[in-house]
Amino acid sequence: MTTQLKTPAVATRLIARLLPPREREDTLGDLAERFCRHANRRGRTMARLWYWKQAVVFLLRVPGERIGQRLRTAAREIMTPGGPRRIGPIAALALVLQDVRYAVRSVRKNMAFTSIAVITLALGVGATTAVFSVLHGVVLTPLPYHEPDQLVRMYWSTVENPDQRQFMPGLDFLDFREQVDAFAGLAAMYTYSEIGLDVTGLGGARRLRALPVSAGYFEVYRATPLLGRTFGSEEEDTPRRNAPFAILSHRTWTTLTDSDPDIIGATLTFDGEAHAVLGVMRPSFHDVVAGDIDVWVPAGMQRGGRNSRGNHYLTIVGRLKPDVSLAQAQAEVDAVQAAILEELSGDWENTRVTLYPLFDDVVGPTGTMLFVLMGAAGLVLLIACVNVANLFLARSIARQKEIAVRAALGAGRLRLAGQLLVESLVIAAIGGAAGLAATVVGVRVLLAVSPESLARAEEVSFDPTLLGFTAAMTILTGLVFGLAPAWQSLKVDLNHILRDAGRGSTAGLHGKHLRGALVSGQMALAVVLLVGAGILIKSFVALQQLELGVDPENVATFEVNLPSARYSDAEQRIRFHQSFQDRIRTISGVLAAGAVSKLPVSGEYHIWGYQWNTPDGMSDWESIQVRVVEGEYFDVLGIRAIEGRGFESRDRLDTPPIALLNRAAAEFSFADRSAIGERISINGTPWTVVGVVEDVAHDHRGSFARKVYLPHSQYGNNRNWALTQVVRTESPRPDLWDLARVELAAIDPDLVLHNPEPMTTVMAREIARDRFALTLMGVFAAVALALAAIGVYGVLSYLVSQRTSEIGIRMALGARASQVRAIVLGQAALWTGIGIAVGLAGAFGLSRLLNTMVFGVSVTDPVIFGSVAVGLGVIAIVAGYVPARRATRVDPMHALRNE
Amino acid sequence: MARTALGEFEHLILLAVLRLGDEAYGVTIIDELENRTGREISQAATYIGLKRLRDKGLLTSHLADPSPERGERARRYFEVTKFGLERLRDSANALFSMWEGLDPELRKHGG
Repeated sequence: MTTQLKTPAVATRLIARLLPPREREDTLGDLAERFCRHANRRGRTMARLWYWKQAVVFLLRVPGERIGQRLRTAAREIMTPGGPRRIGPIAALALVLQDVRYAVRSVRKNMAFTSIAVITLALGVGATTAVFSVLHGVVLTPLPYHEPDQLVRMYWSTVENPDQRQFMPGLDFLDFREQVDAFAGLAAMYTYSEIGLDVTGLGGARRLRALPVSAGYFEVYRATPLLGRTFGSEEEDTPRRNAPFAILSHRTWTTLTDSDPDIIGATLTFDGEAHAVLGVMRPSFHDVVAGDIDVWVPAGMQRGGRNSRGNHYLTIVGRLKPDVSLAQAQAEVDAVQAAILEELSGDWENTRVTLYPLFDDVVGPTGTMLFVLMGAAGLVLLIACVNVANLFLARSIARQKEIAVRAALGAGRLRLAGQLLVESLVIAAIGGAAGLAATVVGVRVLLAVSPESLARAEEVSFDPTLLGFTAAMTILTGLVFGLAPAWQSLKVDLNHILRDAGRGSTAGLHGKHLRGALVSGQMALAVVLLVGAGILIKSFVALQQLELGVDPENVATFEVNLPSARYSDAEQRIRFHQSFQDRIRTISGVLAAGAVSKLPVSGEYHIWGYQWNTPDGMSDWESIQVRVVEGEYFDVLGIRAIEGRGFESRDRLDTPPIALLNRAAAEFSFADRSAIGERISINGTPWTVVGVVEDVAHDHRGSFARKVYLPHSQYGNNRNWALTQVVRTESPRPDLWDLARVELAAIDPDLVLHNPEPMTTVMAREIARDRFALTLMGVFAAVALALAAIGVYGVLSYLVSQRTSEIGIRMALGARASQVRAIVLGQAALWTGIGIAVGLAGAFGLSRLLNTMVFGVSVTDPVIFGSVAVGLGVIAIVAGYVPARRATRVDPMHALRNE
Repeated sequence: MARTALGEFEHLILLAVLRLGDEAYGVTIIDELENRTGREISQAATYIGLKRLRDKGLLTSHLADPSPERGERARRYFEVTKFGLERLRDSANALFSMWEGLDPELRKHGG
C-alpha cells in the first residue's frame, strides 16, 4: 500500500497557476500519483527532481501552447472568406507570423544573399557597437561623481612650456587651499607609484596600493564612507609615523578583514606598523585620477620639510563652488600665484598654475585616439550600410517580376509590401543577432587588447542602447533600399514589368546609376579608412625602429619595498640593496644587477631643479629629471658611458657627493667644455659631475630629457627610495624571480618581491596605446576593403547578368572578347575612379585628426595616399575581372534565344 | 472547417487511449506510451496533446471520484469519439498504403 506523499509545494503551485481551473484537479492528481510511484522506486530526492522537471516542462510549453492556440484560431478566421473585417492585435500577429514563416522559407532559399547580408550586418553592427561601447564607457559617460563638472585638476608649468603639467609643491597647495575662495574643496594626493604598503601574516605577504591624501580628499569627490569617517585636519597634521591611520577600500575590507563589521578603531598591520582603521569606503567609490587604491593613508601636510616651494610631488584635485566658473577660479589662482612668485626670487617668474576640467584631464590623449577610432567605426558602419543597400536593391529589382505576378494574381499591395518588409526584417534580425554576438566578442577583445593606460577601462561594459542604435541604422538601410524599389514596382504598370522582366533589360538605368553611386561611395569610405590605417602603420613602424638607448633583452625587473618602520635608517637601506644585489649576482647566469628609482621608457618622474655655474661666473637654473641608482644599473640596461667614470663602491655616505649627467644635460649646461669635475647643485647639495652617460628615452616616442643620476649609496638618506631592481642574465631566465625571492627571504623573510616583469614588457606597455589604435584601424581597414571588394564584385556581376542579351548581340555582331571585357571593366574603373578621387580628398581633410596620434610620419604622406589609391584600384579591377570574364563567355545564340 | 493535420504524438495518444479502454486516464496513458515507444514522456506534453485532441473533438472525457493516493484528487478518464476513430482509421489507411511493399526494402536497410 502506498502512503500519500506531499508533492513539492512550490512546483505544485507553479503548475496549478499554468492550468485552467477546470483541468487543474486531474492533472495535479496524475502528477501526484506518478510522484508517489517515483518516490517508492527511486527515493524521495529523485522523485522531487523528477517533479521539478515536470514543472519546468509545463512552464516552457503550456503558455506557448495557449498563445499558439489563439493565433491559430485567429488565422483561421482571417483566411475564411467573409471573416472579420477589422483585424485585432492577435489576428495581426497571426498574419505577421505567417509572413515570417514565408520569409524564413524565402531567406533559406537564397543562402548566398542571406549569408552576405548577415555577415555584412554582423561586421557593421559588431565592430561599431564594440568601439562605441568602449568609447561610451571611457569618454562619453561623465565622471562617476556627484556634479562632476565642478571638478578640476591643478597643474604647475612654465610659461614657455604650458602643456608640461607638472606636480604641485606642497607649500603652494596649502596657500591655494587657504586663500582661493572659489574652491568648495581642494585636495592633494601623493600619486607617486612608489607608494605601497606590504601586508604580511595574512596568508603570505602581499602588497597593497596605498594613496596618501590630504584632508578633504573624499569630500572633493563627494564620497562618503560606508563605515566610520574620513580624514580630518588632525590626521593631516599628525606626523605619519607617530599615529598611522588608514581608510580601507571596500575590496580591501572584504578580502583582508572578511567584511569585519567592527573594523572601525581596530588596527591592521601594514609595513610592520599598526594602522588604526578610521573608515571603509563604499564599493562605488573609485578614484579616476589615482586608479585602483586599496588603502588611503593621511599625507603629512604640515608646512616645511618636503612641503616646500620647490618640491613638486603632489597631485591636486579641486571642486569649484557651484556658482563659480573655471575662469573665475583661474583668476583667483593667478592672484595667489602672483603673491607666491613675489615671495620667491626672480628665477621662478616664468611659472604658472593652471586649472583644467578633471574630465578633460582624465580622458586626455586617450580621448583623441578613441574619437578617431569611433570615426573609423562609423565609416565601417556606413560601408556596411552601403553594402546592405546594394544587396537589397539588387534583390528587389530581381524580384520585381515575382511581385508583379503576385499582384496580378490579386494579392493586395499592402499585403505584398508587408511581406517584403517582414522578409527584410527577418534578414535584419538574423544579422542583428550575429551583430550582437560580434559585439559581445568585440568588447571583450577590445578590452583584452586595450592598453592599461586606457583611462577608466574598468567602467566599460557592453551597452544595449548603442547596439540598438547601430542595429537600427543597418536595419533601416536594408528596409529603405529593399522596400523602395519593391514599392515602386507595385505602382508601375504591371503589364510593362511582366513583359519586360523576362528580358531583364529594364533593371533600370535608375537602379544602375544608384548602385554605381553606392559603389563609388563605398570606395571613397574605404580610401579614408585605408589612408588612416596606413598612416598609423607607418607611425608604428617608425616607433618600433626608434633607438631608445636601452637594451631590454634578458633584463628582469622587480620591486622590493622596504618598510620605513624597520628600515628607518639610510645605512640599513643602502646595506640591504648592496647585499641583496651581491646575492643576486651569485645566481648562475646573472651578468649584472642594479636598481633605479624609475625605469627608463616608463614616463617622466622626479623633475627637480638644478643649478650650475656658467663660464662668466654666474649661475643658471633649469629643470632636470632625477634618477637614483644602485649597483650596476648602467651595465644591466646597456647604457653607454661617454666620458668619466661610473659609480663605485668607494662612493659612500661619508665621501664627497658625485653625480652622472646624461648627454642632454651635459651638452645643455656645459656645451663648450667637459662636464667632468663641474659642480651642480640639487636640493641645496653640491654634486661633482664625475661622468657622462648616453641619453635614454623616458617614453616610447624617444623623448630624451635632461637627467642626473645620483648614487643611492650617497643619497639614500634623502628618503626611503623605492628602487626597482634590474638584473641582466646571459639568456632568458623565467625562474629568476623565484630565485631572487629565495635570496630575499634569506635577508629578510618579511619583504615582498612584487611587480616581477621582463624589461621588454615594461617597454611594450608604453607602446601599447599605439598598438591598440593600429590593431583597430587595421581591422577596420580590412573590413572596409573586404566590403568594398564585395560591393564592386556584386554590382558588376549583377550588371553582367542583366546585360547578357546586350552582350550577346554585341558578340553576335562581331565584338571581340577584349572589347566586351573593356566595357565591363570600364564601368568598374569609372565608379572606382570617382570613389577613389572623392576618398583621397576626404582623407586629406580628415587625416589631420591623426596629428596627435602619429610619430615620425606626415599625416599627408604622399606615399601612403598613392599606394592606397593604386591598391584599391587594383582590387577593384580584380573584383571586376571575374564578372568581366563571365561576360565574354556569353553564348550569343543562347542570349538571343532568351530575347 | 478544414481538417487540421493529426500530429504523430496525437496519433500515439489516440491509440493509447484506444488500447486502454476503460482504464485510460493521465497516468495509464503515459505508462502505455512510455512502455510501447520506449521514450520518456512528460506530463506537460501529454496534457497538451490530450487537450488538443479534446478541442478537435477526437476525445471526450469525464471526471471520476477522487481517491486518497492522489491527494484526494479526481481522475479524468478519456474515450475516443466516433470522429476520432474515423480520423485514426483514415490515417492508418494512409499509412498502410504508404507502407505497402516497402517492408522488405526497409528491412534490408535497417539490418
